[in-house]
Amino acid sequence: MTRDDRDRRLGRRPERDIEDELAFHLEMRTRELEARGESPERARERALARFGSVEEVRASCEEIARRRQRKVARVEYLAELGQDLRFAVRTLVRKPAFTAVALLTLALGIGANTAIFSVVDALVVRSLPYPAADRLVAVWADRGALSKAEHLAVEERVPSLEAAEAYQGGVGLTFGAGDGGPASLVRGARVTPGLFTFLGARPALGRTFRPEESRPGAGDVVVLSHGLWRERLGADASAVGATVLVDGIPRTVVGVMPPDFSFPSRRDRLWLPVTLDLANPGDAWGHSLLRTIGRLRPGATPGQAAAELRALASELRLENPLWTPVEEYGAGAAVVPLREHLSGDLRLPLLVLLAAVGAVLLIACVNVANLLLARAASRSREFAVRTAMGASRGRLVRQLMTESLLLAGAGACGGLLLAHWGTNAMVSGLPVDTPRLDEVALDGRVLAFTVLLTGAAGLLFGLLPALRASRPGGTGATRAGRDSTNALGHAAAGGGRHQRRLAGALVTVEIALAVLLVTSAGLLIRSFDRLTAVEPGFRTGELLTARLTPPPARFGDDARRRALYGAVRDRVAAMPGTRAVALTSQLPFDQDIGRTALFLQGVTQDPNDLPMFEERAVTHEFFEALAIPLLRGRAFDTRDAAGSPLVALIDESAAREFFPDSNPIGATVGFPWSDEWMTIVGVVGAVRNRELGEAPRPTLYRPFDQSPRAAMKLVLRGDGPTDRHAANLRDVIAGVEPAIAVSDVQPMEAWIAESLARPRFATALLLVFAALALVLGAVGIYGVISYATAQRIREFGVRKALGARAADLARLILRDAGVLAAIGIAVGLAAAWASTRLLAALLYDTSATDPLIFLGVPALLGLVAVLAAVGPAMRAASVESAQALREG
Amino acid sequence: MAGSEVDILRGTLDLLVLKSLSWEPRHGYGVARWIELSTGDVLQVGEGTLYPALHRLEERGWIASEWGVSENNRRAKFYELTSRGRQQLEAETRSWRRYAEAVFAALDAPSVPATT
Repeated sequence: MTRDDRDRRLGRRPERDIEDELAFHLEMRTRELEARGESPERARERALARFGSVEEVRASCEEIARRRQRKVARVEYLAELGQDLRFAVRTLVRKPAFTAVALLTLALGIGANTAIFSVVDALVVRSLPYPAADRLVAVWADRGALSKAEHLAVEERVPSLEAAEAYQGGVGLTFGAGDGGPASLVRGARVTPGLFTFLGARPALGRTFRPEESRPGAGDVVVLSHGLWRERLGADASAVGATVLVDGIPRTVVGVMPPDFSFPSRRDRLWLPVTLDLANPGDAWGHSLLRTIGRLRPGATPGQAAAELRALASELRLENPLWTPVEEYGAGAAVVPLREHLSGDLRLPLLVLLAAVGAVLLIACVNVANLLLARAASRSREFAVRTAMGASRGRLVRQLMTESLLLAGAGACGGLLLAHWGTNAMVSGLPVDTPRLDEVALDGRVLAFTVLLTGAAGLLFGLLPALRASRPGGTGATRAGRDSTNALGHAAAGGGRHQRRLAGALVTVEIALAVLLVTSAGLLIRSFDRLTAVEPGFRTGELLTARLTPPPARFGDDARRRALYGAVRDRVAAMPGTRAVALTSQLPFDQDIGRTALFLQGVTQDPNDLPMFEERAVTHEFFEALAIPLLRGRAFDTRDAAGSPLVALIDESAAREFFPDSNPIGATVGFPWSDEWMTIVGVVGAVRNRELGEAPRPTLYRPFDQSPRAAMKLVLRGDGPTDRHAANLRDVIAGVEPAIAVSDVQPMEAWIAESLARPRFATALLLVFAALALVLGAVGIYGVISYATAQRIREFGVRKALGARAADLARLILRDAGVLAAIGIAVGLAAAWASTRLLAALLYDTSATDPLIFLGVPALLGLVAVLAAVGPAMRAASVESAQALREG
Repeated sequence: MAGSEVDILRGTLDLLVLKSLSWEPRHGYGVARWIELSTGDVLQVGEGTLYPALHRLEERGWIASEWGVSENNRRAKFYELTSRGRQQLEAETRSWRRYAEAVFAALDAPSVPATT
């Protein structure tokens, strides 16, 4: 084979060859025809005619040639890739310490990101799993809950909505499986009959509700969740058609939903139809409990619907038979896309977490990049040889990138394991009534995200070292030193100042990110701390609470309720160790809403301007049991029985707001639509209600005997720890009335802790990330300083020989570390300052520029940097000049 | 156009090319001449179609090419049969003969052929 041929084979353009080949043929044919007697021109003509279209032939041949080339290139590429991968594996295995550190770092970074992303994706980003999800809206979202009449009006009289359904979730109900077993408390939802169809949900067994089942009298049906059916009915297939007792009322099970269905949240385990009885104005207009969701007509916007809603509101204001709402009623009526509405107050904390975990990954990538830079320096001889043997720079880069991506991929595998565990941990850390919690999973989308992230990470940490290492002329290599066994502190074969500066710059970035994270975590911790220190307004220790729900059917009238709870009160008071027992319709912090509009005679001049009060019916021991102070007048006592003049107590926040200059004692308040009027006899201390972070709202107290409710909460103050009383309590109450469902028996402190679930979740996670960032940052500093020290052994030898003391050398190293840290901290603090506005929304009673944090964090990181540099500093100090000069 | 020009099916062209190379390497023009001479010039190839055929056959590994010097001292691309190509030639020859015999038999048959 001549050189010419080899060149041809090696990929000189085939177009020339084909041209030559065809030209040869035509020339031969022309010659032949000339030899037969044709003139040269005629011969040429005939040769061409015989040949056919030269262009077409050439095009065909070129196409074939190109195909061949592509195939060859593909095969070669795959072969090279296989080579690279095998080589990469060998290289990584040969340095197990380095590989282990890198893998661990990457696994942490990628795993954490995957876990957070899976939560954010499911709760915030992904569209709702219902048909026409982008047209679903929350209607009158600013109000939160509507009355039945308002919902019906929305459904029928807002043209932009093609459908609207309503639900009331988290309703406490007693459930008896009809098997004679005890009734237990479950949470369920009341829904309009069309809700399931609206959500595109089909039952696993039986059917869902029919439209007529919302008519009064026709609604003795129930749909069960899969879990409830499995637990209480033994997953019996003949459950459809069976009778169960819900709140003591027999209902027919008409359907069972599939296991993956939950609405409005996992907490709701059965569904009842909402009864719409417009003939009863008190029922239709008097309670606002329904949340309405709607579907926009194609082409309609939420803005249009909101405008129509506002117009409707002004009409409804006048149609309300019970009272006339204020002028502003409906003025701010909002129609919000449902996805946003459901993720509402989770968005900000989750996004902050996502940013934080992204920062952790960046730090991890920086660390691995530095590791690779250090390794690359020690491999410069290997690269020099390969270049000499003909490898192009691109080829070297490709090989190094393959190593990086392999590293990233392996790290990602470990990361996925971590993510699996992390996702589960997060889901259990979030409140159980978080919407869409069921959708959190490591599914295809999340895996795709992980793959992309892994690729990006591999590129990020691999590109720079790859480009550096493959530079023509090598990495400025000097003679190689002896490899130390320390994976992070290779006595490098060169690299010199450039590499050190680069590594140093990267570490500075790392430190800045770590500062940002630690600062944010510190602020959140401070905020959480302040939150938990808030005085709720009552004594929380040694209080056992329980929710009592008797079957409403049997305890529908006042007399029975008074008798029942009187007996309960007496028997519980007689239990050993009981110091005080009280009943209340609403416990602080237990999330059940009991708000009402209240008319204050002499204060609220305008019947259209009724303020909203929290309202509780309590037995008179309530204030003593919870140690709520009496500020003015008197508390309830035995005088305030059924039939006596109606009395009420207000709390201090109500007194301050509505009676700032006058004495509330003796004032008359009441509900105009039910013609109940009460006299205020006293003022008690204010109590935090739903959240520690929320100021107490005006509260009205009524004596239980004058306003007996069916379901009540029991509060027990006893001697010693509360769990002792818990078992007794159940027995005693069962002794009074076995059909009462006793549930949520837990100490008062548990309720408060539950209300803190969300801030605790965010704080805990951020703390984990900050800790990770700190550890990774420390590792990074150690690595870079260590590496730099190893490189400068020779220089230290010289200094020592010239009279420097060990302490001087150590100080040199520490100073270098200090400079790096200082720059990083400064940048980080600046970034933290800039991001304060974002965090401020999450903080309670903590300034986003809290000086303690802004001073403490730099100190902490400075300390960490110094500690990380101690090892290398000592090594520098112990350099023996002669040995160093030999080694260098 | 004069005479009995018969369009050659691609498969048949491949067969003829392989046959033409079964004795010795030839260049493209040589293959064209051989086909012309051995078929009595009945098959007047749109000669150009020979070249895509040659390239295709090379792509499939039945023939291999090499640039060399022609009988009149010019640079030319020579093709030769590979061992796989030789096997392919034998197989295709066999099946072509069977096909041709069957067609001949049909052409010579009476109106109602004898059943076997």
